[in-house]
Formats: sequence, C-alpha cells, structure tokens
Amino acid sequence: MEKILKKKKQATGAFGYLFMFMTVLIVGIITLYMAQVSKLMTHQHHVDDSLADAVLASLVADDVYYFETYELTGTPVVRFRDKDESYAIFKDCMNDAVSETDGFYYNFGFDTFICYEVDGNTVKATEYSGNGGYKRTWTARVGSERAPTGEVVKETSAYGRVRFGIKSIINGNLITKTKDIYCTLEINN
Amino acid sequence: MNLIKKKRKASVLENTLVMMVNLILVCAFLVIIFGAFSGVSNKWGMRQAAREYMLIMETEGYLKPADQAALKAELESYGLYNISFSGTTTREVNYGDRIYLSISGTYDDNILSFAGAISKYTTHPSTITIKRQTTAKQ
Repeated sequence: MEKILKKKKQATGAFGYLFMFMTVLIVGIITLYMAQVSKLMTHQHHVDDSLADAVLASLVADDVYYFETYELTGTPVVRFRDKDESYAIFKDCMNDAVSETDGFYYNFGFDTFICYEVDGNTVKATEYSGNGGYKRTWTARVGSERAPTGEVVKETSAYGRVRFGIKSIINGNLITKTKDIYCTLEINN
Repeated sequence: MNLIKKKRKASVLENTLVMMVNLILVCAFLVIIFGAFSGVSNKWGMRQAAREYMLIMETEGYLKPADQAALKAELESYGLYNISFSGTTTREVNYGDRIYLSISGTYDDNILSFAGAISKYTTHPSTITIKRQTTAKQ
C-alpha cells in the first residue's frame, strides 16, 4: 500500500522573523520613550532657568531712594523702583522665554508674584495674583513673614510662581505643574 | 513508495537575510534617535549660550560688539547659520532699564529618509528664534 504522508508545512524561519520584529519593536519603544523623557527634562530645566531669570530681572531697586536714605540715616533702604513695572517685567520675561517652546507648555499662567520690601522691622508685601494681576498688600514684622517657599523674609525680595500643563508621554493627558522661586535683592554685597 | 514531505529547514542564506534586515532596521532606529538627541542637545546648547550672554549684558548694560562676535561663533559651533541679532540692545542703557537679546538663525535638522530601498540623510532647515529680556544691573 502506498503511504502518502502529508505534513503541514511550517513557516520557514518563523523564529527569526519573530525575533526580528520583537527586537525592532522593543528598541523602537525604548528609544522613543528615551527621546520623550530627554525632551521633557530639557524643558523642565528650561522653565526653571527662565523663572529664575524672570524673577531676577524683576528685582529693580530704587537707587535714588537707596542713596538718599543712606545719606540721611546712615542705613540704606532697599525698595522696588516700581512694583507694577517689576511685575510686568516678570511676565514679559517669562512669556518671551516660553514663546520659543511652542507646543510644549499648555495653559501657561501666572499664579503669584510677590514683592517684599523690608524697611527697618517692617515687611511690606505686594501680591499680584492670577493672569489678571489682582493686587493686594499687607504688612508684617520682620521674622514673622515667610515666603511661600518657606524662607523667612529678612530682605527686600521677590517670589514668583507659574503654572502650566505638559502632555503625558504615556496617554497624552495634560499634567498640571507649578514652579516657583524666591530671590532676594542685594546691593553691593 | 513512501512519499514523506518534511518541512524544509531554513537555509543559512535565509537566516542571514532575516538577521541582516533586523540589523538594518535597528540601525535605522538608532540613527533616527541619535539624530533627534543631537538636535535637542544643540538647541539646548544655543539656549544656554544665549542665557550666558544675557547675564553678561545685565552687567554691561548692552551687548558689546566683541560679545556679539563671541556669541555668534558659539552659536555657529552648534550648527546655527544665517544668524541675526536684530532687536538686540546694542547701546548702553541705564540701571533698571530693559535690555533685549534677540537671536534668529537657521538650523538643519538631520532626518533619515527612505527612498525606495535607499536610505539617506536629508537636512530639514528650520528657523530658530531665541528671545530674552532682562533689566540692566550695571
């Protein structure tokens, strides 16, 4: 009797192809993820630097008043030349810095900007809130007033906080982040 | 007559071909990603250079011609060309006044493109604009 045995033909080189596609897939996913993470970290550093630069730029002292008080009392008083202008400088510097990273920061906004002016034992704080810059002022004794970052306010200084959303690498959802910084204004130190 | 059909084993040539295709695809991915990293790194370098010279401008009150030449050379080392400083503060201002640094130029993003079976690097020129402002502290 003739025996004709037909077996199913297996795919040739199946393991090789599977290995190829798996390797390409894994390398692709890892490399794209790394690229996204590096981009994210770069932009995080960028917003940190920009925030520091913007708050430092806003620290403009009233130099005339500084020398006047020094000559009259022997103790110079450092105060802002124009607090509204300082707030405008802070916003403009941040907007300029963020404008070049189009499509990365979403819903960028200004939470708070506070100017602290120390004169003797008194701290005079002026706060600008929200994108509209709602203004309020208060006074406190030196030692009792703390900046939102936790530092005790002892010198004329400024605090700034911004808020923005970045897209999640995983699912594309927006993650809201805030960044803040507190800087002091010092002259001839 | 026994007629037995067995699976033909993959030849050496076939396996080698699969591995070669595999290697080519992995290399293509790596080239694309390293190209992307290089672009990110260069743009970050440009921003840092701009920041460094902005701080110099703060203490000088403007961008001196010597600093401008040095900044231009540094930006060129990152691959930027057709550099313009239009809008930059080039005359000394008083303490507390605003100073501006505005840089624009062209940067070639390297992109790996495939045309049929041939892959090649192509350059994709894009305009880079860096705008900064601060106040003079001199």
